[in-house]
Amino acid sequence: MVLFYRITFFLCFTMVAELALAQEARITGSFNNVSFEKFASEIESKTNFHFYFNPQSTDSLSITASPQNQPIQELLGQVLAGTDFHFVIDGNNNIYITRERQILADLPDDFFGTGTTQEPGKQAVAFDYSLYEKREKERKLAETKLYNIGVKTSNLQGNASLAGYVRDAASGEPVVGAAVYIENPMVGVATDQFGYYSITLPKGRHELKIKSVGMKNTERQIMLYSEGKLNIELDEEVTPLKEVVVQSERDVRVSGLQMGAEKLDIKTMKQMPLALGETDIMKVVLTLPGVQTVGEGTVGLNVRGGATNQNLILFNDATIYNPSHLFGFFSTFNPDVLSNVELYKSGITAEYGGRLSSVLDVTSREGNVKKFAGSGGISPVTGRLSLEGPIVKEKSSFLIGARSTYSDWILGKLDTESLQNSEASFYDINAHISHKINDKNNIYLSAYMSKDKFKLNSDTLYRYGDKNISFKWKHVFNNKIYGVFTSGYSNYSYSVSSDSNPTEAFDMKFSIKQTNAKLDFSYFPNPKRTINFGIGTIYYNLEPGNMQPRGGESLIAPNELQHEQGLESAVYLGENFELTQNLSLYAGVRYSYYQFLGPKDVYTYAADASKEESSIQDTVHYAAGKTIAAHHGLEPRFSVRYFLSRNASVKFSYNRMRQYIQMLSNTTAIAPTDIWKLSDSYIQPQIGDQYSLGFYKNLRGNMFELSVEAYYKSMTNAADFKNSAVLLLNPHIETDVVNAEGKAYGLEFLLKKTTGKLNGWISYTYSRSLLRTKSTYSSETVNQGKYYPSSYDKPHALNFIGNYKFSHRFNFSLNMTYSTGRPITLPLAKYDLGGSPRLYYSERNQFRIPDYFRVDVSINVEGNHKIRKLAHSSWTFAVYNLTGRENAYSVYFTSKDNKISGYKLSIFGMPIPTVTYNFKF
Amino acid sequence: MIKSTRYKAFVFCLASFVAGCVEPYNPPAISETVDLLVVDGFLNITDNSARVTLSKATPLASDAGPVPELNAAVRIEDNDGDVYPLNEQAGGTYALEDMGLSLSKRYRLVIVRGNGKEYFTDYIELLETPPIDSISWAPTARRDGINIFANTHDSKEKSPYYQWTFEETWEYNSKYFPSYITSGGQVLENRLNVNQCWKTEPSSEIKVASSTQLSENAIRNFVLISIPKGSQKISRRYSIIVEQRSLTKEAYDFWNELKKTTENLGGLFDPLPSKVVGNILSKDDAEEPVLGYFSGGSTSKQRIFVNVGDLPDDVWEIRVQPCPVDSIPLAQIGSVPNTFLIGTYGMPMVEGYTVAYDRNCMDCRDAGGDIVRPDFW
Repeated sequence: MVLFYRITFFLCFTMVAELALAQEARITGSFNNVSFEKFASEIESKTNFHFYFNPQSTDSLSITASPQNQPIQELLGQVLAGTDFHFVIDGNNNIYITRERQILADLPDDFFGTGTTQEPGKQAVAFDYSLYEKREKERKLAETKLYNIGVKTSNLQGNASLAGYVRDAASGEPVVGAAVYIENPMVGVATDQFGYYSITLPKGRHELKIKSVGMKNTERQIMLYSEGKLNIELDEEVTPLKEVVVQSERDVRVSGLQMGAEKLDIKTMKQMPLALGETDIMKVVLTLPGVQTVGEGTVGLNVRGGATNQNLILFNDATIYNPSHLFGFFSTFNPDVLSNVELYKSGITAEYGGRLSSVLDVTSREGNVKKFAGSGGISPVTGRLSLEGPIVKEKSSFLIGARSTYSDWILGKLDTESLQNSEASFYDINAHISHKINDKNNIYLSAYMSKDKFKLNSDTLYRYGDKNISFKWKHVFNNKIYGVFTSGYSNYSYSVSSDSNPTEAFDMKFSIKQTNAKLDFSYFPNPKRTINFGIGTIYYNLEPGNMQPRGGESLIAPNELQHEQGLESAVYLGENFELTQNLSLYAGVRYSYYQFLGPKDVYTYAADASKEESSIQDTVHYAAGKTIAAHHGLEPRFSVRYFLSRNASVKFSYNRMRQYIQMLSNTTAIAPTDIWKLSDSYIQPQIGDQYSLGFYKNLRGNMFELSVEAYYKSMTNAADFKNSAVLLLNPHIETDVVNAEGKAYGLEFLLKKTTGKLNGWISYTYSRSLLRTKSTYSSETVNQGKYYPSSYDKPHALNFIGNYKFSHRFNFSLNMTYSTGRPITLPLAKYDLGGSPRLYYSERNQFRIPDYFRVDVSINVEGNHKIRKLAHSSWTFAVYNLTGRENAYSVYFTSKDNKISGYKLSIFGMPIPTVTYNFKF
Repeated sequence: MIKSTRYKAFVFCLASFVAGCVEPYNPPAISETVDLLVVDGFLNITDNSARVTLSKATPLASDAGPVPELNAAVRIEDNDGDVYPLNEQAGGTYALEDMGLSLSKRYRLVIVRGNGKEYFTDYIELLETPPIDSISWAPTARRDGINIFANTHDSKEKSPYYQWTFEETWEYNSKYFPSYITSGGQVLENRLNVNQCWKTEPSSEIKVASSTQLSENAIRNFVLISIPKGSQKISRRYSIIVEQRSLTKEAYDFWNELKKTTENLGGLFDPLPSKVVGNILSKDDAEEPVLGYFSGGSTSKQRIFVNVGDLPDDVWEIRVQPCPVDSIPLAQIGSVPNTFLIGTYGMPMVEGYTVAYDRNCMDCRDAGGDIVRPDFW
């Protein structure tokens, strides 16, 4: 009963207690630094008074008093003086302790008195509300209530900081990227990956607004006296149809400093029509301006003219090397466990480093801290299930997700012999545990694993997989500073085994192991400044190739290339500051220091010749831990934002990135046999500079978001290859790699409609990406050292994503994609040699494959909206490539039987219907 | 029904990889005029000869075959300054016998085209080729035909790169033996055996291998060619003669790159095609691409025979050729001159002769073979 009252009390602050004449009870005793709980029970044991209070809010209170026959009212007044706690005693000898607001007398006249007050005894009636209505009521109460923050003083001069967590009311999970702001003056921040925010405001009365994608907007009335905490719960937006609200406030896209960034939450992504019935974040990212891929069935991203290996893909802060399953038809991220995805194309802040083009930061959810829940789905190719729930209610939670395909089983059932002789399967598992130790300390542990196996009508079996684990500890020092310690381990490996010819049967392995640790701090000294700084290091251990004979008959010579070791360390400092109301700046710098470490034998080459096997002069042995080569440099980062008007801004950014690990691949897509190589004495780190300028405007009360961004990028030391380079098991790979420099530029338009029955976006990008090789030796140049288009140079790209909600249960989506065909090297002439007609090819990438165009549609049907039922389910009917256009994946020519024939290889050259069943409980 | 639709969709997407959703495609006509010289030259120390074939590349859109380069002056020079002019033969071939080639000398090729353009190579060394250990055959793992293998080895310090060219010859029959032939309105007895033919075909794929990945300089069971079950090649008797050459690394790279760029492209993980230029240079324009390769050395050869009776039962199959037959009435004999006739129907009421609709059911030469038995057969 006590608990019941306490909860009621905690939830409904509007109750008014009857103030009865307090009995003249007198207390004698001694309390030396005791908790309030203890103090209360001591008094309860000596008198017939009962205390009602929320132990969570009084835990910071300690009592020191030595009353000698003191009236209880006087004693309470004395011990609570100077705090924001208030007390009231009713006629039944009940003592109610409240925080922040005094019951009754201090109630502002303009605030209550509209029937929201109720007798405490009648509170129980409120529990007859349905869950939703109850929550609505709570939300309304929270929005109208005045929160007194800090210790009450009459001095309202200067600023004070307010910090706390923004969480999802239903699951207790953090809401990432929610905007927390006041409008007058315009001061705003966004919550970080933990849902944490810290905002410094002028002391006094404010209306604090909170906005986040897919969540209901809310606000809090605050009276800021001094530094304090305010946790905010947001409700999921379940009935967006109702919310045709014209809002006038500035949006983050216009007001934020960050440019070239796209944030997508899983709810938006789940509405998009996709192939094979599964939400795929990588495919959604591809619809954004400036992001392209070389073809269907590939996951590699080309961001603003960068190569596929120039993207830092982070999953809960662990690096993912191959984000694709089943030749790229699926990404390795299970949609059920994801929270959101952020892509930074430019203006990359100083805390990120190590890749030239972009950062794709994927975060999983933390798991429901309030109740046990699960979700899953079944599609024609995959099945998935995830479970989550509290371990300790409101404190710790777990989230486990697994996904697998049953394609192998299907393949076995097929009549086609070539398919029966094929294998293709994958699975991935995610696990996440988060624990709140106390208000100041949170820890997170997350693990991830993915495995792929395939064999395509052959005797060669390919396997690859990522394994990651990361640990995070967040410590809040005070409202103005917090720190996060992260450490993690990533392992990417692949293997190829073949037994088609017993004398050539082999097993080949490749792996990257990466261990990292970093310490990041965020400091909010005053409302106009935010400072981030930190230090981090990554240790790489690469197994560049290990080939072993398979079976006794095999003549394959064991060939194990020496491992490569590298240590990449960095320190950074970045600061956001508001110069004037209209002008904000970000300035940051990162210094990275990289060492290529022994043990290793390194070839030396003749100084005045091109690097060939024949120009090897000597081999130098370096002992373990010895630095073979070191590279280092500063990476300045800078952004500026200027408000042109209330709803429009212009931004400029510059960033330099350095990359010490590169993928070597002579295929256009990410293939499972691509190798990664650490920078060494010969292969220099890649350096990229990007300048970008953008214009942002919100129209019609933020209903439309318009942005135009232009960029120019230059890259040095991009790796390209000599013709017919040998990349696998090459002990002197530097002889096959040529140094290229690249430039990329482009213009991106995006128009987004965020609210209403019809929402979505349309984007157009014009971009170029060019490379050239620079060497004095002809064997090290491509196309005579002239600029040539990179394999992923696709000048025009147009994307449309539209979503129309017919009703709460039916939702229709349409996705249209057009892009210029990618460059290709085409044959120019034919001739006879070696008994067959041959083709004479043009210089590299001088022609293009036909343009790409695709339309997808999908219909989501939600189950009924009954609140109480076993599981919520939904069906998705989708058609991928509705027009059945046979988009060319590649064009090639072969000579066989004395004929030269040109062929076009297309993937998904017909409409592919899929049905997916999803459930949630 | 839903099940089968889903299966189809899934099968389709996997089939995209396995078989590929491949369609013929002709790029927008590339109308660039090309003047590209193609050189295929070899100095054969085994038979002491030089043989250089010159041709010109043709535009892709053109239907014409290779155009021979005529009236060129081709010569071989050695590092002692001796010059060996080659004699022009038919079809752009330039050759010289009894040259007195020596392993201790180095040679280069010089070409002066009819239009005056001059081309040359660097001096090359002649490479000794080890004997072929064996040419063997075995049924394929899937029992859908047979593979012909090459086996060779050399000492560790010798070149690990090899190339094979070969010529296949096989004996086959037409379905019916024509006993008669029409001639001048008459039916004569046929004395020409057009039921039995021999067909010869040179290799059309580049076959190169290296032992660099192996612990010894040996090539074991390198597949030269696969013959599918039921092929005409293994319908009676089959023979293959294989010529083996050792290659330098540069020559191996050239042939391998040419093979990669014209024979295995288009797969998901295949390399990008590239411009393949050999070791011949233009004297006037260093940028001018010259196609082909010039090399030299000894060769080794081996011939094997495969009799149809040697094939295991499960890889032997007779493809029954559909050969509908008809009869020609005696009265019409005059209107079908030089037609083979199989025989009479054997049924008394039919006045006339039997003939197959398809000529090649009677005359094996229509399938490209020759009725002359080769010397080695």
